[in-house]
Amino acid sequence: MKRFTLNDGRIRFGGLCLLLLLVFVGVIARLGWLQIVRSEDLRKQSDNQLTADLTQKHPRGRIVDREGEELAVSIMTGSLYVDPEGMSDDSLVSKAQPRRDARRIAADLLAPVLKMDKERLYGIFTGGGRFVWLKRTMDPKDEEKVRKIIKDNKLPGLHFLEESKRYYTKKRTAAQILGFIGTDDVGLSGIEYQLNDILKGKDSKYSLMVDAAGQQILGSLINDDPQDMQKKQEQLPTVYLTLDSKMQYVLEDAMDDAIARTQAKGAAAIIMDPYTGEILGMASRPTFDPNHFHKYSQESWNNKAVSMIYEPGSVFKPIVGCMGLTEGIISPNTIFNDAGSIRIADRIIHNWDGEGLGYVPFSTIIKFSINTGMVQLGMSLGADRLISYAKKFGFGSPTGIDLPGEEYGILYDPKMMYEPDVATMAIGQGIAVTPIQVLRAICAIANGGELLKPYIIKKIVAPDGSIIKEGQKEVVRNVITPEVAAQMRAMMEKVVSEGGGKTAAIKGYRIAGKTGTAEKLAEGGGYAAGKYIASFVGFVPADKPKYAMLVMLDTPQGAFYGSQVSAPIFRDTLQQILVAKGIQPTNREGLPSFDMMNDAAAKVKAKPKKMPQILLLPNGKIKLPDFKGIDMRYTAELLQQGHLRLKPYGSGSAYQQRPTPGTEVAEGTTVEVWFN
Amino acid sequence: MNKSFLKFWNNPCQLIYMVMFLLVLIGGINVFSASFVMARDMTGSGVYFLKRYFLFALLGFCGMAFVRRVGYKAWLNRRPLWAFYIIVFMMLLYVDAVGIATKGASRWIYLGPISIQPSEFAKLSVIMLASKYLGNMLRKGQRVSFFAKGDHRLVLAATFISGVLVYKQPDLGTAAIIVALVLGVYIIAGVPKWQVLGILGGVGALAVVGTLASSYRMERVQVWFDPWIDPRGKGYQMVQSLLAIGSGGLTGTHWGHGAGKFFYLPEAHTDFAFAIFCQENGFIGAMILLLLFALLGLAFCTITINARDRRGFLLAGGVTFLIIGQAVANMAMVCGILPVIGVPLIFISYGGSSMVLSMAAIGLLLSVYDDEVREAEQDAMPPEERRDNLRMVRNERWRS
Repeated sequence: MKRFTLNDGRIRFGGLCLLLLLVFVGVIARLGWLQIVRSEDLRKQSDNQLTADLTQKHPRGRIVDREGEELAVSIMTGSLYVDPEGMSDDSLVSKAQPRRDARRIAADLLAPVLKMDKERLYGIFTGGGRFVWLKRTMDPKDEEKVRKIIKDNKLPGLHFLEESKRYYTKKRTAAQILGFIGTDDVGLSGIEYQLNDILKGKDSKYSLMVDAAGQQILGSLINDDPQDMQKKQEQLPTVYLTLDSKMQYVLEDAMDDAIARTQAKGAAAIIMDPYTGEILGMASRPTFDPNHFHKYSQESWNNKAVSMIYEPGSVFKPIVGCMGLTEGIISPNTIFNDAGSIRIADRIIHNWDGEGLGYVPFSTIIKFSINTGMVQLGMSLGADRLISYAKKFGFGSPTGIDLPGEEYGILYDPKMMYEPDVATMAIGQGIAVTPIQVLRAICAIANGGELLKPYIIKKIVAPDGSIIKEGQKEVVRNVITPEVAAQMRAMMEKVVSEGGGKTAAIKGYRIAGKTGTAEKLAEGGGYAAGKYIASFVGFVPADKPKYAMLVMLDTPQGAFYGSQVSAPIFRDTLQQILVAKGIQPTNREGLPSFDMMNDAAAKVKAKPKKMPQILLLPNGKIKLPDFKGIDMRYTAELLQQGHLRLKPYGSGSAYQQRPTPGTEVAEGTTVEVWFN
Repeated sequence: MNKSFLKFWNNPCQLIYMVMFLLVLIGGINVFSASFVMARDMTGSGVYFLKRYFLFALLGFCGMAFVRRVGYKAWLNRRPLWAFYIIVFMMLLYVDAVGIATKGASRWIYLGPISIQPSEFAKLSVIMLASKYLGNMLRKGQRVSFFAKGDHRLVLAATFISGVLVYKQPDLGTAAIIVALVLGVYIIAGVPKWQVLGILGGVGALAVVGTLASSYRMERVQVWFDPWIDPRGKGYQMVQSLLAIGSGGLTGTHWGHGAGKFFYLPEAHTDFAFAIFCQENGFIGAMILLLLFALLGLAFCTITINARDRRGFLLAGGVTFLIIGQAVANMAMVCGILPVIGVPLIFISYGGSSMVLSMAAIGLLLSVYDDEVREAEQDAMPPEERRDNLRMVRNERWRS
């Protein structure tokens, strides 16, 4: 074997160095390929991952009442999601730290904050995928906690997305009107649904430079101009409803009361401005809290005021009366013979009590809601005229109110009507209506003959203050002459002052109205035995109405006549509203004098708690009592006694007032009272 | 020496110092750019790694001067050599024990604020062992062979033990480098070609079989060929590296403006710092850096070729492989020519152990150069003044 010399070694060393040189040249070639030939393509890819196209969500538009009081507002809150595969990427953690199970740590730490099971969380984290929601629209406090946990423990794969969360500030108030939204900011019912396109939070897209963890690169060499995205946040349009939240509150309160008292299965009430068609208040029962809508039955989401159909019963009589007056068949003084019952073909129709009044004028027929008289009128009108007038009054078709889910109601085809059908329709049977249809037909009587399109959206105001859309009075058609309307108003006023609707009377005010009690339609057709719809519809003041209101109770337990259960709701509600709105009584007669106040005092003394009293002083002034601890209704009553106006705040029992107790004030002064 | 060329330097030693100075400067700047985002996130201070980098550079320089002053021959004496190896062995054993105890990977020894990477020590120690024992064989006129009897088998044993311990960390890449470095020294020491080919063939076959047998390794190889088949998984680091390099283009994104360091590229300031450098300085910058490494390599090769002492020759060759070989391997890895093995790029990658040990190794190389100069001076003396025999005898008596 040849001896190995140092020179041989040098040659070998040179050979190995040549190999290294070869790789070295390969590196140069490769760099040239990457940095010159493919540079453009790779740079694009790099920029792609560097810029995140993010979507800024703007909170959903507000819904407010006619005065701008907030009913529904949105705020931006974080929604937590996890990138389960990204959780394994622990590269951000220093090498110095021992390897750890980031998923286990995250599950243990987050479980108590998210109120989720540890194992379930761990299951999500280990379940793969790149995007799983953990909690949508988190509470800001919880969000803060989670952010801190993520930061302190350098947890990978957990991210927030800003989403808008809806708050219904007045909880159940006007629930069915407002509706609610699903988790993706989509309105599912009510105004939220109706105006979803306008209210829905708009997305604006923008690009950000982000690091591999998705964090914005701020204040470094790479990004000289960090934009503050928050500043760019746009506002969305605000929807003003025609609702008056104070009236709505009174209405909701009265409805709760009524349901508690009558155990009715459902109820609806509407307050409308008879001259404009504005809906001032609208309530439906059962109800729900739109903040937690999923906890309530679907039935409670329905707005019965527009979607429930029922037979109106006697409430329909003034409308049939108007038909007769318009056609000239009758006048208020036309004499009818009331025998207590009347036979039409094979059917006998009785008065509610079976009693007959003998020969009475038509005004009395309306006043006491006499079926026999109405049947006679109906027979003279005949099927064609009944149906065509009913259509003219807006029955059988939606009113067009800007709320979803409105029903049509049902009308007979006049060709298919037999005589008994004609007869029963004259007393409000054999026709199916919605509460809103009835109220606006009555409003046509109240306002002198104009059938209006009711509306609930007062205006939609853009962020810059410009008005996108404005609700306006819209006359569908004139259905009756002002004279006929005046005649009918007079008859309806008698219903309340002398007839079957006395329970609706408010002292000092002229009220026109009509009660109605009808057997409930059964689901499969026919009538449901022993189940009634008790309603009352009316307006105040009778000569020049400010408010028209309908109350409908579905299947009240115990007393079921409209006059017994619905009319008092009408009275109590409007009484508070009239006082609150400072509408002066038209008739001082019968208002509390000292005698009557003593009566009232006696009544109050019967109550276990000592109630404050209004003291009329000899100089004509009124000494204010301390209202502390008493409820709004009684406060309103007291103030009304002294012809004072109530400006209530909040609800519940009074705790503060202005002017202070003992102050002497003049008539007509506004007294502010805070309730809680 | 090279006197006709533009004279920036008079000898390889000056060249090495000059290049090292420039590399430390460039490397420090690059480490800062690559690490400040992460440093700020981890420690709150963006200059954390920069400070430590220069601290280690200073330590490395002192170590280099000390090693050079003492001289390679003294270091290759049995006692310091084996003492060094035993320390390395203990450290490797400790790291493996920690790994077993924590059921995870373990490559560092943590001593308060600093962390030591024993495998870097292992690389140098096996080169020194090989240089000593193979150099002795050559001096005695023995033919070097893997199967030869004698002390060189200690080298094989030491290499095998270090390799296995590093492999168990687990760090297959570094274990392979340790074996390859020793193999390199054996090759320039004249091991028969058939043995080299046999080993390379055997390793190759083992690699093929090992790859086919394990789906994990198979994926690694597939990802090496085309990282884009799994750009968010196993190919992630490679893809990010290529994106960083490519997005630099001809002139780069300018210093500090590279995006890779924003947590996109893992190990941006260590093993993959070269990618960040390419991103921010572009092809032109990369060529300048490569030129510096080429000059460094040229200086190392000059010293190696000129070595007359056989042990010095082997040691200089081994150190050249250690420094230049690893540098080339790192750059090839970063731009995707080689699979991802954890090999740092000296002066550019942040890493205390690597930097200090590499500079110590350069100190050995420089002391080989010092010997060359001394011998050249003697050669230049008139024969009657040389008295080299006398000198040699004294040296031998002292040192063995």
